[in-house]
Amino acid sequence: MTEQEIIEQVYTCASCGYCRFGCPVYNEIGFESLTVRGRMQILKKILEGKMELTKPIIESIYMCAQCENCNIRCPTGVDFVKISEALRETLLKNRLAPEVQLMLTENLARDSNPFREPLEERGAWLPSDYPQCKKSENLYYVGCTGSYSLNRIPKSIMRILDNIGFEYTLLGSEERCCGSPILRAGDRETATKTIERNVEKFKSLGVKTIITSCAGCHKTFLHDYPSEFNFVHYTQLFTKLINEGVLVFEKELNEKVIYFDGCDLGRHSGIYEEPREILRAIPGVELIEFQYNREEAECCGGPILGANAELARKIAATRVQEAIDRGATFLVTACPTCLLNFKEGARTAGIQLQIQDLPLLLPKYVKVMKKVQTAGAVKDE
Amino acid sequence: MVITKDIAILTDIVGKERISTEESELFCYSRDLGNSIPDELLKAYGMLGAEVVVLPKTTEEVSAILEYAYENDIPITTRGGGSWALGGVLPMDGGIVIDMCRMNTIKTVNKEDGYVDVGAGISWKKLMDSLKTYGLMVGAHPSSAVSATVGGFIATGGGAGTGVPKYGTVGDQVLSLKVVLSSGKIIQTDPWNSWLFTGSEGTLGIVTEATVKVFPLREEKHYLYYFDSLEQGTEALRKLSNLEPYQLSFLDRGFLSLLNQAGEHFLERELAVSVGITGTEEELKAKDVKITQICAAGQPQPEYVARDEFENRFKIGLAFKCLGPSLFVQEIRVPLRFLKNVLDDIAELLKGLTWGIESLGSDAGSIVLSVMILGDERRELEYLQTFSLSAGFANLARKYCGTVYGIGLHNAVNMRGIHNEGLDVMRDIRLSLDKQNILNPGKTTHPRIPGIFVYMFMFMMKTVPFLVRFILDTMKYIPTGLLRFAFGIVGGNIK
Repeated sequence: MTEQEIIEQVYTCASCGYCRFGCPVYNEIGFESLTVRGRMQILKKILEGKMELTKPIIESIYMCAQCENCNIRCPTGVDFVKISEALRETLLKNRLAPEVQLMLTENLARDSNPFREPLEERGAWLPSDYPQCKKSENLYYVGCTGSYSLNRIPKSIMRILDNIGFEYTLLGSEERCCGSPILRAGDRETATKTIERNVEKFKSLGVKTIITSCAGCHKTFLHDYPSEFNFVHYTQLFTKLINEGVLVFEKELNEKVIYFDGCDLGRHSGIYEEPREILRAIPGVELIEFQYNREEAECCGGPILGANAELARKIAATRVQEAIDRGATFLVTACPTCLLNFKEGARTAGIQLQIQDLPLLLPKYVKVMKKVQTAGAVKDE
Repeated sequence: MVITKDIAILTDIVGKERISTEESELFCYSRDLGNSIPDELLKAYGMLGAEVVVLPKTTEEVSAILEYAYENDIPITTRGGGSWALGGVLPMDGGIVIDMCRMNTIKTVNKEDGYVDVGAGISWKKLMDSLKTYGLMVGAHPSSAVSATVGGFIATGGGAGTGVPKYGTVGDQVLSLKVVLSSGKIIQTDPWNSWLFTGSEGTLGIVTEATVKVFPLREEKHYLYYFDSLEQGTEALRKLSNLEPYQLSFLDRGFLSLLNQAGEHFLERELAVSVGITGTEEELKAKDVKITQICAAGQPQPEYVARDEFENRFKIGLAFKCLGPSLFVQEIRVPLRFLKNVLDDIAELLKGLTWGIESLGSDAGSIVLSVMILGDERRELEYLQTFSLSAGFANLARKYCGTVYGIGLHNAVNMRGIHNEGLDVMRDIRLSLDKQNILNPGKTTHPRIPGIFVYMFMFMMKTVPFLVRFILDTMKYIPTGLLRFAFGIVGGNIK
């Protein structure tokens, strides 16, 4: 977003306060300066030279989950998420970002993951003889969380893909961050380089379709990568395989399951029904919903784990409590960040509920009925 | 003035996580929907702005805050969703801003007897969404239901919005209120003395809980008719109001045109009249026949289009703001029988400007007009001239037996014209309930600046805006305390 576009949006904001309705940060803390309305009023005064850019204001810019719930409520079309990205970029360029953010960007640029894990260990979760970076039209892009902290997710997905005879490749130790956390931190320069490097790698392997299990990666691919690739989330692929009779669920899951629409997969990527279709296909599942679901779903707080982990956990605990209040016995999400934050949030608040990421449920219940014939199975029809 | 000791006591009451004295926070709590008002104009009112913001969660906390403020003569400004543009939540004399939005729980839903008991800080939309699961709906609710709170709508009179033509104003829905008086005393009202606090704009007490009527969710039917003739359209609106519709509103040609410029898809006719009815199948059928007869001269739209427009009702009023990007809104309540004349007069008043009108359903044969005038606050002189129009709207409303809609800070000068001697009674009531005058000082019954100065200033804005701009620029260098002293001498209500 250009400076002029930001200025126009600042003056377009009506201060109606609709942005507060589903804002996870505002709803947890309650102060106006953390709403888009408040942020825009402050920004206007800074632009007019009537207010100083103070430390609390800078910190508050990073206290936005960029979940885009405000965007769906805003009657005037203000897109604060785009504005916040531009602000973070400017703050970073001028070394005005909070110390923790400066460190985070340096780590991201160096390690290409947000966990400060060594770059060379990215593929360590794979058996040493696992074939990596082979030529294929289909790439399963694991992402940072799957590569470092939640290996069980890619392993579950690979077990199903391998069982159905699906042909694909992995980048393993050659994989790098998709750029999502780098963009969120405002380091567009490093993000651009990362994206260019990834695109080159994809092309060198002859990749046409990229399958993801990380919602953040999927969103970044859709919005920030060239459209020459076909980006498919595993929920889309598995729904297709269920509908074609390739995957069948036999074992029952007798639970009241509530599905949580993570922002990156839901509002940012438009995938709402596929995860629900998969859950409905499991016998015994009684699917229930949060009060605000699909496009209106309220963020788990995960995106602000880096800026304020305590607040992120509080927001997560609020969502878990709502799941319980609505009668759920099992909370399922399809985003590793949501999963981690929910588990931490529930643990910190002392709330008991079964919480699981969708791919971790599947191998236990799914039965492969037949093998797929070609790689074309994942292509859009 | 709030001092360190006060902050310590308030922190003891609400806890350190629900209090702030941070500069940027105080700034946010010193603004409302009318965010295009020049800062200098607020300074010209002698506004001090918030000194401390607290977010209470219980009536007892509000009571403790007020008790302390009363004893120490600290001004209190109560804030709900802050979705009004009349300056009602601006902390003119500094002091404590109480943000009620943390008191947002639904305490009781009684389907059998048809009422809910809620914290005053819950937003109307949140309440409506939650009631759907019980098969219930609210009666009157505001056009800003996404952010407006139940307490805020009650405090501002709640005289217009969806549901009003059928169920009456929000005051008609109130069964009981829990109110904290300025001394900190907590009272529970009955339906009759609830009226005292309805529309009192935070000057008589703070509503912390409200028991309001709810109704069974019934089938709805929505209609949208375009009229080529203003006469036919306004006549249809008058007749439709007798059918007690759940929703009755219109958009004028200017509004429709601006919506289209902002990317919407409406037909550009003189009036687009929107009607919504609820009831049993038989009731709907009977009203359907009548609506078709009344709107025979109009061009009907498919029901899905009408329903879509209804569902978009909380957003549509601001959908074209980006074209300004500033928006100056004037709201007046006028009898439906004079609507055509009022619309003609508005067109005359706003000649040469870009504007549109949407209406909000009201009761007793009246309608509230939201006149939206586009402008750009960065073109300062031009925008000051637009501000001067507010005096014209007050006069226009009075000419047709109507009033300005809402008082707050900016319309307080009109109180004498609206209430005549009744204003003195209102002042007596206010001072008997709030002897220290700590609750929302400088608003409603006690105009900040004597009317003559306001009207003189508006006249100057219209005729010599550059001089007004010069005065406002000069004010930057005048200490606010000196301005306040001067206003006090000439009869302004300065605490």
